[in-house]
Amino acid sequence: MKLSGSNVTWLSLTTGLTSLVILPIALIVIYALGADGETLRHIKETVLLDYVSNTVLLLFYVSIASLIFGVGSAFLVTFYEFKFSKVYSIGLILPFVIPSYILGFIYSDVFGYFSYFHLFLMNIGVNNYFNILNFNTVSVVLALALYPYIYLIVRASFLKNANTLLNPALTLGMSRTKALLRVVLPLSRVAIFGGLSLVLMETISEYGVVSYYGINTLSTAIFSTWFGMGDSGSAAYISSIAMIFILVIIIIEKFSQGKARYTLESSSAPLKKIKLKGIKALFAYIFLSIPLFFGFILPFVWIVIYSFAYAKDSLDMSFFSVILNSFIASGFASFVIVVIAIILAYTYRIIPNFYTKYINKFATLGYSMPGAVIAIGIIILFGDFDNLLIEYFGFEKLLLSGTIFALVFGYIVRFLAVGLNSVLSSFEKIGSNINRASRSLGKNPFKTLLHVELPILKNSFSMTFLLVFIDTIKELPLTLILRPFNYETLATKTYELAINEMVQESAIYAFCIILMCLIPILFSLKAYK
Amino acid sequence: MILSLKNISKSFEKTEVLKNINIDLKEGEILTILGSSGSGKSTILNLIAGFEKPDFGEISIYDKVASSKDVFMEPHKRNVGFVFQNYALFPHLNVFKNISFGISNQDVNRQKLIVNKMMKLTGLDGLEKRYPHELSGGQQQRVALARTLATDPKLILFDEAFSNVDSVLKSKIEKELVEIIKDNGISAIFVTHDSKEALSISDKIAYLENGDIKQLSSANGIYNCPCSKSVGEFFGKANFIEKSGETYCIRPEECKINEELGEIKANIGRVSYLGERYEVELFFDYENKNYMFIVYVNKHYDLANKEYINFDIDWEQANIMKQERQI
Repeated sequence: MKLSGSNVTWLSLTTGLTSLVILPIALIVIYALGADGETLRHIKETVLLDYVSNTVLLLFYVSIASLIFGVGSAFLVTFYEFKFSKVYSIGLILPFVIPSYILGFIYSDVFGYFSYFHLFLMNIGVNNYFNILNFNTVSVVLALALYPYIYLIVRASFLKNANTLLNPALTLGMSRTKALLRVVLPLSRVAIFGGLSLVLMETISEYGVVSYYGINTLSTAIFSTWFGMGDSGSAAYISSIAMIFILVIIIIEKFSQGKARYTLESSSAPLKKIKLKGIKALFAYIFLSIPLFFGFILPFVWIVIYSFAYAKDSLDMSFFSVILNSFIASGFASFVIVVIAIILAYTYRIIPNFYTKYINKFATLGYSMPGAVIAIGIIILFGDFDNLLIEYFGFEKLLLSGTIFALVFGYIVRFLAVGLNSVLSSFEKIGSNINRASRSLGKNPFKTLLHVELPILKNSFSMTFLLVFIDTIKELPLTLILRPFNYETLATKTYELAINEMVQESAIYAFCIILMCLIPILFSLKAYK
Repeated sequence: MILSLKNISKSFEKTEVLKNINIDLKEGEILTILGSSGSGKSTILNLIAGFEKPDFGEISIYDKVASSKDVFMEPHKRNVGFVFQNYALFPHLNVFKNISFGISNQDVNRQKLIVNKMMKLTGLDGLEKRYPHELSGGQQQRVALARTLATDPKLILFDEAFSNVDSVLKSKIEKELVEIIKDNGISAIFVTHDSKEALSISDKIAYLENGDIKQLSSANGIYNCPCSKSVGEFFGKANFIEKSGETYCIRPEECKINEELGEIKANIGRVSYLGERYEVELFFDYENKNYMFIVYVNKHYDLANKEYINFDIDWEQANIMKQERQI
């Protein structure tokens, strides 16, 4: 069938933009397949197995710990009632606002060799210092930072399933505990795997904590291969192994769904909770306080204290230039992401077919990839492009490599999914008839978008901008690799100060990141309740 | 011809939603497409408006091909009005701007002239500065209609356009709407699942079942001469009886109680009091076959303590069921 003029324009735009966004990922695969040479052979023979086994072990430990924190706390706050249970149910999301690397730096300061805690231990006669900079701490830190993914998804699933199925199970003679364990929990399997897969992907992507604690994983290996050896082929090879890990997680997650794609009509009746008292209530308080205290309260208090302590020394021109740098790179990237997301989502809106559906899925591929992997892909892409310009067009210096455009492009590849999903759901909320009404009144798709949908959705799109902006502000590994020389952002400055033994001085930069991360959480609290 | 659908088929994934649909619509004609949920009614409108593309067949609007194997005219180029079930008013625009939306390329004075005319026509005077959320359901529907009429289409599609209006207001709006459509020489297609609504406003009715047009007739034709039992029963209570090898569709109002001389003697079954009359189930034999009929009985008639009753079928008014789909 012949495509109409405006459809061709929208499809071409979408195809072009998606191709551009997945190009760095495709290049990783191509370079990895062709990777060879002394460096790679050396890596394979010596450290590669360590990288892989450390990553696998870390994934295992983080899974266990975050499942305990996430599923356990979701179970308690959903099905049981005790004093302050509502406070806990909201408070347990808060660790989301503290990026894992900041949490890692804080714990090394609070419990490290030179900490007050260690001094206190020595004063009370405990002289056997336990080294906190180890694998277990990294696992716990990552679990504390990432368990809210599981908590949020599983809690929503518990609420939905329990509301609908708990009462029928009880009327069929099951005890409440049996009904929860045999009906509600199995039905939440998909949600549990969904949350866990996000935790695992973030763990593979993690760079700040693991490098600071000296654990060699695939993510740190990409850095050391690139920065230490300057070998893009080997970096691409290691990146492709990380990509295989991600792929396996995605496949397992899809497999876990099996045929269990059931959706249940939610019941409007409120869930009847069991009241906890005495020792049982005490257990609930202790269980829920651990992630809340160690994941949010302690690090937040630490950050506030040291931010004020070092505010005088830190609030100078360089502090504001770091903030400005962050705002320029993240602001520019977020704006472009929202624009691209609107183009892709709108194409799907006006031409909802197999092609546009799957091209949108391709465009979001970057979100599941570690930041370091994307960064290497972009270095390869821009390097090849610059070499082409120098070789064939007489350019005398690098045009794109090492510029802010490389960084912005990196953010686009990595976080387009955040923007696209948010824009798609905004369009879905207003339904398709608004668009159809405008078009039946003689307006073409572009005019419809401009005069109808953009004005209606401007608040939603502003929120999308904010969500993407915060994700880019937090992003560490990608920024570390792609930033121009001496270009410091809030994330890189926090990291640089921390690895240079100035963790307390980094507090004020971490504070800025956390304040920004709090904004969308506060916005969404109303909906969450 | 305002509209012509030839051999239109449409599937979503593997489900065939429309099968070989043929419809012609002349200038000023009102067609209602009727059928149960999921029968494919709205898909026909979406195909005509250009929101969907047919898999096979050809759609011509105003004697120009709008959809075919090689041609696809986009919705904004078709000049076909569309009134949605939820009205789809633009929430960020006031009534005036909603109505002038489709004519914003014309000069401002002309826009004002047209909007004022449409507001008068649809009884919206004085509401031009209100926003959609400040209007009642009936007013919102009038705005949706005025907005569509402002672009001067010769064909308007109404997708369950009355389903959000209460029944008292509904019949009033229906009457006004048909007047506006007829006075302006517009052709219209209504989609509904309400058979009474269809009978009261339509020149022609198409009954759709599982994506197939079972019957396309005048309102009178489809009520009195249904082509199948399912079509007959969709438009109200219907009795079917065989006489001399033909099947007749007998509506309850075509059965007359005649206690003394009635042709058929029947057992009285369940009696339901409907206020203005009784609805009575009658069991009887006719030409060696058993039947159960539903008939209406005057509310003053004394049915108490009666086991049998005689009645006549008005054979002159009764219609033989025909298999033809277009009558």
